[in-house]
Amino acid sequence: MSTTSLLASTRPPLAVRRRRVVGAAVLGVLAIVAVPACGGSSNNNNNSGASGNIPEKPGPESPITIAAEGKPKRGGTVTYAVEADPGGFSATKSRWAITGMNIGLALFDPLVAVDTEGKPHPYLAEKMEPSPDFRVWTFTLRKGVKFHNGAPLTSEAVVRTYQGHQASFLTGSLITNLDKVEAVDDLTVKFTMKQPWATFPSVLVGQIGTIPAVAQQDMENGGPTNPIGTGPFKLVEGGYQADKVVSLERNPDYWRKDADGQQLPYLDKIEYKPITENESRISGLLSGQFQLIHTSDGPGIVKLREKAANGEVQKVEDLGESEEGFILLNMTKAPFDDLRVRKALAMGIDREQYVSGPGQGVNPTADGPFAENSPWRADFDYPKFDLAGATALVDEYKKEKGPITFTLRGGGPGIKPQLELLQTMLAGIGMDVQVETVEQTTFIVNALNGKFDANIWRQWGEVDPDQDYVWWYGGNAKPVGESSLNIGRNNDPKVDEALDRGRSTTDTAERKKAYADVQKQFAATLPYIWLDHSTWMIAGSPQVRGIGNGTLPDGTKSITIGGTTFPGAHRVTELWLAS
Amino acid sequence: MCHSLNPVVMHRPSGRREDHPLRLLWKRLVQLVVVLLATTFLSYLMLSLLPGDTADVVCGLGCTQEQKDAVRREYGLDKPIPVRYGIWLGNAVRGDLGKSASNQVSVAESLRQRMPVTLELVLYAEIIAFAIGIPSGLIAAQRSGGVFDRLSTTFAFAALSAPPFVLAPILVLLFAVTIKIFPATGYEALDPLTKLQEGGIGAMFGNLFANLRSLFLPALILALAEAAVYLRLLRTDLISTLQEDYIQMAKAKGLSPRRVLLRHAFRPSTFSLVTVAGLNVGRLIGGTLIVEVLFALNGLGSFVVQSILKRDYIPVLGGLVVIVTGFVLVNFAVDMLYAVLDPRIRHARAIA
Repeated sequence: MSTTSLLASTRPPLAVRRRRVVGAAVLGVLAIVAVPACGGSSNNNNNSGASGNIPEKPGPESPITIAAEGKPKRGGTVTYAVEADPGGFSATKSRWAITGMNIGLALFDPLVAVDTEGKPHPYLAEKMEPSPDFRVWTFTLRKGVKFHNGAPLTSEAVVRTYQGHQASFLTGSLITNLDKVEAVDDLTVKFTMKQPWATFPSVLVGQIGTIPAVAQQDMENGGPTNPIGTGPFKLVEGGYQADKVVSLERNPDYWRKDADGQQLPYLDKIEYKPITENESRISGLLSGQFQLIHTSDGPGIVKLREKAANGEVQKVEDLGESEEGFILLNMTKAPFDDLRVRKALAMGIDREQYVSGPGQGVNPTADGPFAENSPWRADFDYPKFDLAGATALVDEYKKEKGPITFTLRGGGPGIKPQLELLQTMLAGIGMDVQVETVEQTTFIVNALNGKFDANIWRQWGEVDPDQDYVWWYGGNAKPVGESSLNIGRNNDPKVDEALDRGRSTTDTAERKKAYADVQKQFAATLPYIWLDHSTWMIAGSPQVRGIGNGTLPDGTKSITIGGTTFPGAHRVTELWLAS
Repeated sequence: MCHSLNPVVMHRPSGRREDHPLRLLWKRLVQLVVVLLATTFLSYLMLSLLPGDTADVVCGLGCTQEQKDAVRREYGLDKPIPVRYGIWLGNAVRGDLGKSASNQVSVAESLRQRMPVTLELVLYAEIIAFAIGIPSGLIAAQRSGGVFDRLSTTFAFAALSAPPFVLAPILVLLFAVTIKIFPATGYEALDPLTKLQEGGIGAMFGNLFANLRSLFLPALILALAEAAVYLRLLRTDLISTLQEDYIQMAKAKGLSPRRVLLRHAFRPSTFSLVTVAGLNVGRLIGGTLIVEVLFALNGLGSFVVQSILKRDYIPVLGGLVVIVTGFVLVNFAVDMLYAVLDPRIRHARAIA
């Protein structure tokens, strides 16, 4: 993923980019504020297979992996080519994009992780219990877990972590509902919320759930180059060279064992190498230099699917909830304050054509914030592609209020093909659209401040829809000129009411109804003009086995890829080399 | 250029003090300082005109206005540009090039890590370029108009027309993916002393070999366009030199064509070659960006560009100091090289 990044070193900053970079950058940048999660809810299918999450009808996205023969072998080094430098290993102070998340999961353990349904299970925690009104959550930690520096895992580390998050302007906005966190005893932590928060554990699956040692937190800036976690791997002495490599070695005292009692992890070492160019990553995989790579680049994915079909590589695609690409409208400005214009946009864009262009048909089209196979997905009527209908609405608006002109913007030069495609489509229904690419940081800051007309945006691959609350809630819609997490300034009391309902209970049926109402409302009022769902692929050489998250400590299968803050990120705890 | 048989007599030494080597060195040093000041100041000025704000990058999006203002004060971004530049300059002359705003790594440290990569790449590219260009130029000139001459001209134009980002994927596909003799990305660092300690002479040579192998494709891509230029330059200069009277004299004396070519015609024909090579090396020190990106090499070029994109100006200035100094020094070396190549200059200076 071309992600690179402008914000410190979490994203691929170079000018030679592809479309995905925007997503990556936006994603990473927004991670600061809300650590978007991904991958959670997955398919309805039950074939688990070696890598899980196989769709009902095998399609081009089906995983192609080599089944393990015999028991996992211990030893070996895997080189994983990633899209950018991680940019820092502090859970509270660094900004983790997909690379930071991947490495973060190797160095640290999150308190919570999800299963194939996206349901949270305790991971580093042993138990998590809410009070009946969901105002207090009590977490019990596992006994006998040690940090890489030998210090025991105690509640002090957890309390310090969340106090650190509360004080951090990077990660704090995801837990504004947390009032205080206290240690009850050495292994028990009590979280007290301001408002009832039934879905609190779902927030603890990503960056904001990982627990660093107190020693690391005491370092300057949160010790961004000195990670001390409880995770399956630890940083080799001098193993972090910025923009070059992150070298990790096995944690010999790791607390997890596999089903046969063999201690995890299997690998001796894993090296993450930031390689910003998709082509270079793919060539490196094919030439045997790398054993694992990831990519979200359309043409790259097409090529790797071919190679996998020929048996040259293995691949697993993120089939869960990943992000959506959409047009984010500034609802405070004409012409987007008029429903007819929004409807015309939705009807006038041929999404099939959009995805088959620059992205070569890899991404599925989107008509809502949840993937086709997400358990949260409801039935609603999103406007179909209808050129005549769209033009009629545009004409009606023009008669009343004059021509429709606005600037459609994207972050970074890589998004230009998509912008121009949309410009042409919208010209076809009578809208006069200028397009512009804006330097990434300015793009995002301007968006937050409301200084935009319409932006191509990519976001919202959360494990749990409650994590989208902060972006969709009307109360978070600040006026233009102020930084607003509800970027489009969509202030809809119906949406707000449904969102509040969704987080007030753990009854899945009730929650599904609430989020169904949100989706219906979005389809009716059209604050977001949906385009596509992003696709992440992990590709591996024929020698690797156990690609993906594997299992949870209690033996349940985990979602294969994702289920954390970023689509495409995954644990490497159960990865091994067959030869 | 009309050469006579007696080079020393022909050009009376001017006796000018300005040609004395030490004086030349002094002039060059002054020039270096002036160029450094001008480039760094102008670059800083232009960078600050770019949209995007260092404070935004460092502070991130969850920042309130007060937090952002605090960041601005911390990094001195609230002061006017000339003042900020002056502060940087004051530290730089004392050896402190500052640190990156985005990851706090000291600029000097980053430069120290990245310079060897770029320097080795540039030198390697020049060596390959000479190895291809000079023999080809010699042969082409010797048999000018012949088959080799015409073939090499075609090759030269092809190499000049193909940009690195076209050549790179092709070469990688051929030599890294299909015939796996070179790695697709990355760089094996030269670490002879450690390898010697760890594994003896064998390990040391193994390391050297791995290093050269890992840089071969990127160096080749840079070298091809240059080899084309050197071939053409040398060929043209040689053809014109070969028509000089003294060459006819040497042939009349019965010297073999090869001796005439290499001993008598070659050296005087290398002035343009050396000048351009000097310019190339200087240019490449900062110009290897595309190759660095394509092969994931951590060099100076990608360092400067990544810093610009991150609105991280202090590292850019540090990088510029290295690049500009390198450029000026290389051209100074070229000037000195003229004295070696042309005895008249040497003697003129000695007498003066």
